[in-house]
Amino acid sequence: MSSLSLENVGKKFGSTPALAGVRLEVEPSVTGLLGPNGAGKTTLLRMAATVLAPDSGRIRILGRDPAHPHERVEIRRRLGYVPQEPGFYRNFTAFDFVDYVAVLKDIAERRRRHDEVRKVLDYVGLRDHAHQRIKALSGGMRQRLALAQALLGDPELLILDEATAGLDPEQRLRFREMISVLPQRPTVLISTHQTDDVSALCQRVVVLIAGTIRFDGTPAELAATASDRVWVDADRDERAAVSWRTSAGQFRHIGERPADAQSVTPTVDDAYLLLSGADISARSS
Amino acid sequence: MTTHLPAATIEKYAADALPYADASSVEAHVLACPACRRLVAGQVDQARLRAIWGELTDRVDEDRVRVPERWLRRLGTPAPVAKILVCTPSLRGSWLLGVVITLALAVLASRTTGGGDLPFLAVAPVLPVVGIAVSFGRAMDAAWEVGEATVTGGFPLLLIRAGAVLAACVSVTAVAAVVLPADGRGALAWLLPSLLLVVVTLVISTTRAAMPYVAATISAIWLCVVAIAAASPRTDALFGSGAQAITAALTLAAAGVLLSRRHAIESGTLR
Ligand SMILES: Nc1ncnc2c1ncn2[C@@H]1O[C@H](COP(=O)(O)OP(=O)(O)O)[C@@H](O)[C@H]1O
Ligand SMILES: [Mg+2]
Ligand SMILES: [Zn+2]
Repeated sequence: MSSLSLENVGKKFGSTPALAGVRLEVEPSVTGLLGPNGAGKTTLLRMAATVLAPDSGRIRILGRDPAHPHERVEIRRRLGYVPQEPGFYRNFTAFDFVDYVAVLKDIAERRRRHDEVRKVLDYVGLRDHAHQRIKALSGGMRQRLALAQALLGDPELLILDEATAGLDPEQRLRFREMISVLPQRPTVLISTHQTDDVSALCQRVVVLIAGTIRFDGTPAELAATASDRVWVDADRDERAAVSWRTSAGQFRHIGERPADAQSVTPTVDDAYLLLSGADISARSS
Repeated sequence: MTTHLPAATIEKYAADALPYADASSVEAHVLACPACRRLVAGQVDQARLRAIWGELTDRVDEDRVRVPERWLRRLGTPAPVAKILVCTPSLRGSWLLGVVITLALAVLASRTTGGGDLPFLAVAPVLPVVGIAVSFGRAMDAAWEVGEATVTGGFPLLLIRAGAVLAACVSVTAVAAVVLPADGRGALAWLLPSLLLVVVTLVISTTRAAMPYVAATISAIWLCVVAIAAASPRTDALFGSGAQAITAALTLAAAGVLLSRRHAIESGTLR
């Protein structure tokens, strides 16, 4: 059974479509939603988290219909959600905040709730900061706090919106580790605009650009879409759609490869740039 | 804490042979002293240790419950509800202070302008409407989106918060009403209009309208109605006993509509 299924989903804010004709089946695994700012990632994840309804199309989450009140509650029981801007009560301690969310998640019995709160704070490495006020926590710690509340009650579906944004490289590594070794192996849907998250963490990647899905497959398959379209040269090549100087001092080019250029193995980065870069040039022309 | 636990005490504690008071002081020491904790852990069987440890950390967490939450619980509020209430933006001190000042001004106006209790009756019902509008949804609740995606999100959360705001406003207003100039309408003439405005606001919010706009519109309409009534020779048209009966009936009807539409209320939700 797919954990999340979108059928022809559309959503408009005013006259601008944020999503158009989105079809997507998310299986139990770690799936990355990759796309530039404004692509519609947050809109899609909000729908998956039952906080936003589509204008058109059908959504099923964990086999249930979020438009139906009782089924929506059932979904919410099995859901963990880190919004793009989680928002905290700054004067609360980390423990209090997670405890509050645990109350909202209907873990009524105090002993069990506190055990659960301690468990998730431990998991994200905030045990020693549990009784510190949130306003005194660093950005990285707050991000882990946001993850902690989402892990309450061992969700079957974990939705993370830009959960790695603003983290330094070491924090990113720790974050990826936390996501990838979750004991209950929930379905994880994580949005990002950074390709390295996708290559490092995701079994599957969905590229969303301007509200439509432009690619759906494994990271290796995404990279392969750029095969034969990446070449390296000592000088800048005007024929490339995108080019930049690499740390090795050469120019890496992406686009329609000229016959005289030697192609190199593409990366996820190349493929993503090709997809989104092509979009930029299409829009500006 | 230089004196550690004597070996004999630890042994007795491990065998569960200490009187309650002594066992408690062992636990207090162990909580603060890693060295003795290790000694105790080596002797007490694991299941019992886990149970003791759970109870201890629980007691520590309990001590850290913040003051307003503790008061609410002492007043008989169930602990989870108390927790939600202290996270309600409009129940913060600054909001309540605003309510008190507004009411004080309204009472002052009622006593000095010769308009009788009309300024007070006009203002009091608006306060809970505004309070509820700012207690729920994106504008005021920092963690609204996290809350919205939980089982309590939507109607249950709205109901708890709206109930708390209403209770707070009604208590403060009831106190303020005592010092109103008496002119026969009774000090409770504001109560039913308050309830009606609150319930109507909630009902309209079950459509796609955003609660702050609904609250502002309803409040404005109410103030206009009061102004028109004030200009007419008989303000009793609005606050007399006949009007009160009609208000009560309308409130009940609106409450029925609200209940039947409760699943549609997702005012914190984006549309
Ligand atoms: N609540 C909203 N009101 C109006 N426009 C919105 C809202 N949410 C998103 N949008 C618009 O929808 C588009 C997609 O936004 P979003 O889903 O946030 O993209 P992403 O998360 O990929 O950056 C953008 O053009 C954005 O401006
Ligand atoms: Mg976003
Ligand atoms: Zn000791």
